[in-house]
Amino acid sequence: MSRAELIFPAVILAVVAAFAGGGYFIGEYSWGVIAFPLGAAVLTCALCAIETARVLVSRPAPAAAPAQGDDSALPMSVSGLAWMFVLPVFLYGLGFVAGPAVYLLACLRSNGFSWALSAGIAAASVAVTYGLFIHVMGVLLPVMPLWWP
Amino acid sequence: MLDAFVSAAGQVFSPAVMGAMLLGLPLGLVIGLLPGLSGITALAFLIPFTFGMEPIVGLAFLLASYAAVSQGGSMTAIVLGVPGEVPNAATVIDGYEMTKRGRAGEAIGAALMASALGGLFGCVLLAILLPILQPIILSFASPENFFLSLVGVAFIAVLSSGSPVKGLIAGSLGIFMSMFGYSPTDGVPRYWLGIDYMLDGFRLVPLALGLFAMPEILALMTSGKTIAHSGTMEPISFRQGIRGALSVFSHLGVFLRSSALGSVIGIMPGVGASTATFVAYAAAKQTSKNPETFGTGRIEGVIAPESASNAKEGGALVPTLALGIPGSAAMALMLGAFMVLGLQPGPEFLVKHMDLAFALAMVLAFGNVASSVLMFMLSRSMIYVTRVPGHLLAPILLVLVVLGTYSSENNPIDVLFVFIFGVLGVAMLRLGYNRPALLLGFVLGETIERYYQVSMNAYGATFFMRPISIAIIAIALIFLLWPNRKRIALMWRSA
Repeated sequence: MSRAELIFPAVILAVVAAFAGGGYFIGEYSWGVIAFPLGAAVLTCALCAIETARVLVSRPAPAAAPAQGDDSALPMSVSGLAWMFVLPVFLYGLGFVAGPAVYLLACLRSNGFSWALSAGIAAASVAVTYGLFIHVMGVLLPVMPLWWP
Repeated sequence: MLDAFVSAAGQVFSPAVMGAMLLGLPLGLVIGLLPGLSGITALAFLIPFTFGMEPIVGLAFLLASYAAVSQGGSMTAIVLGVPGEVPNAATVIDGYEMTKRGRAGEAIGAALMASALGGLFGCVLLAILLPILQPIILSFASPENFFLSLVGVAFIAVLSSGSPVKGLIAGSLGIFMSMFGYSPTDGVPRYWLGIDYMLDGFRLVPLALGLFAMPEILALMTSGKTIAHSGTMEPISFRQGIRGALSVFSHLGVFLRSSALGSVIGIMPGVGASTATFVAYAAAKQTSKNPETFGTGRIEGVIAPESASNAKEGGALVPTLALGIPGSAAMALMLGAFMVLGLQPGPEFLVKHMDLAFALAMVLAFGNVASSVLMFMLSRSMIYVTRVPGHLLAPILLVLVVLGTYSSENNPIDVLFVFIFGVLGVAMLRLGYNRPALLLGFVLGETIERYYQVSMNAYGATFFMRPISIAIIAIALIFLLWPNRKRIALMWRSA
């Protein structure tokens, strides 16, 4: 039994119960509006409770070797994780044209790729966002930073 | 009838129509290769270019590009684990596993052959059904759509047969998540927390990309490894592709069943085109002798969703042409294109323009086959992407996913949600929760609620007593219980 196996269904149970309870007691919805979500919530919570109980009573299993090609079992590098979730900050701070380009340049350089390759990919990113998305396809990508008034 | 068919063939093989199709195909493929951009985007982008064109030329241009979008989406699903559009998420499950095991060529061959033949299946069905379809479609009302959606939800149990409780948690959570925002019949917002974005509830594109693309990108980003592991990497060859393509014929039952399911779901307006691929996948798993091996790189797991995905497009054209009722969101745009080009689909359309209806079926069939051939030619160079180091590929994919997500509704909050759902997807993947079950529940949850309430209001509590509803329930029960028939017979005898 891993801690995550216990925590995940418990978190789902808590979140779903909070929404369902809030809707029922605070939202003052009519029965016709709340019946379906409430039914789905009760079912989800019951299943999560069963899963949590199952994990609690089950014996700890020996750690199985990851299957060939199973990347989900690989350890995560903190820098990789950080680069993954930092993109929204670039988008917010620099917009959807400059943001991805600067992000790619910084991310690739920090991973040891050459200046030429990193800058080339950053330039290609500008071509895709500004050229393909905005000019050719007419997508309204925010060119200016999102905080810009 | 024969005259209309011959006239249609003459129109399709004219230089202007062929040229329009050949122009539309690569445009559709490019849009399909961009994650999050769907056939709807392709149509919205291309419709303005059809102004002033002859109706058949303009519609051929649109339909050919629309047919090609799905092929591009399945390619990224197999090679990169990133679904090009929502229905391609079902192909990720086994297709990407095959790529990781060095069998990308086989998966691509199977996907493209299944897509091409599935598309042909849907178009032949469209051509056969067009003259006789009106009474059939009109006999399907909200109770029948309710039961069809309910049958779709029942497939959650099939998808989660490996770990039933976890699968059911995922499915019921998906249903619950679909009920955020305005209720379908009363228009009362639920659980919106005072945030305007939540008035329309969670969106499908960020959910699908978050659940399926983000965990794969995270794995690439954190490990830095290539997609195809070097020990198992086999250079993609024509022979590998052909082997995959021929596997469609050795799994003919899976192909025919999936195509039929896709066509029927496509024909039903409002049931949800995204459902077709997941239901076909679950049906293939349900009827397999080794259902537990699905998700580990089974070729049937590629054939089933791909054939259903393309077969449903022919099906979706049926109500659009015959009744003027779009079978999907993309067909709603197509309906607009018909009007732009001076045509009014509906019962009158079939009387006046049966030749054009046949011509459109042929264009769609040609588009499916030609885009498969084009994609196969491109696949040899695309497969080199699987050898690019994860640290280089992952940021590029992440940027494309974010741009595609934003483009789906032009809303930056969608981008935030793709990361939130990404965290959910990673947790589900690591802990063995079924992601397709959650997506299927999400797609069908709101549909079930809407059709239930409409049925209750229109027909009362006995709405389930309609003959077609009873037939749907009976067929679903037989289908779901068939694999356990011996056990049920044994229990029956012992009782």
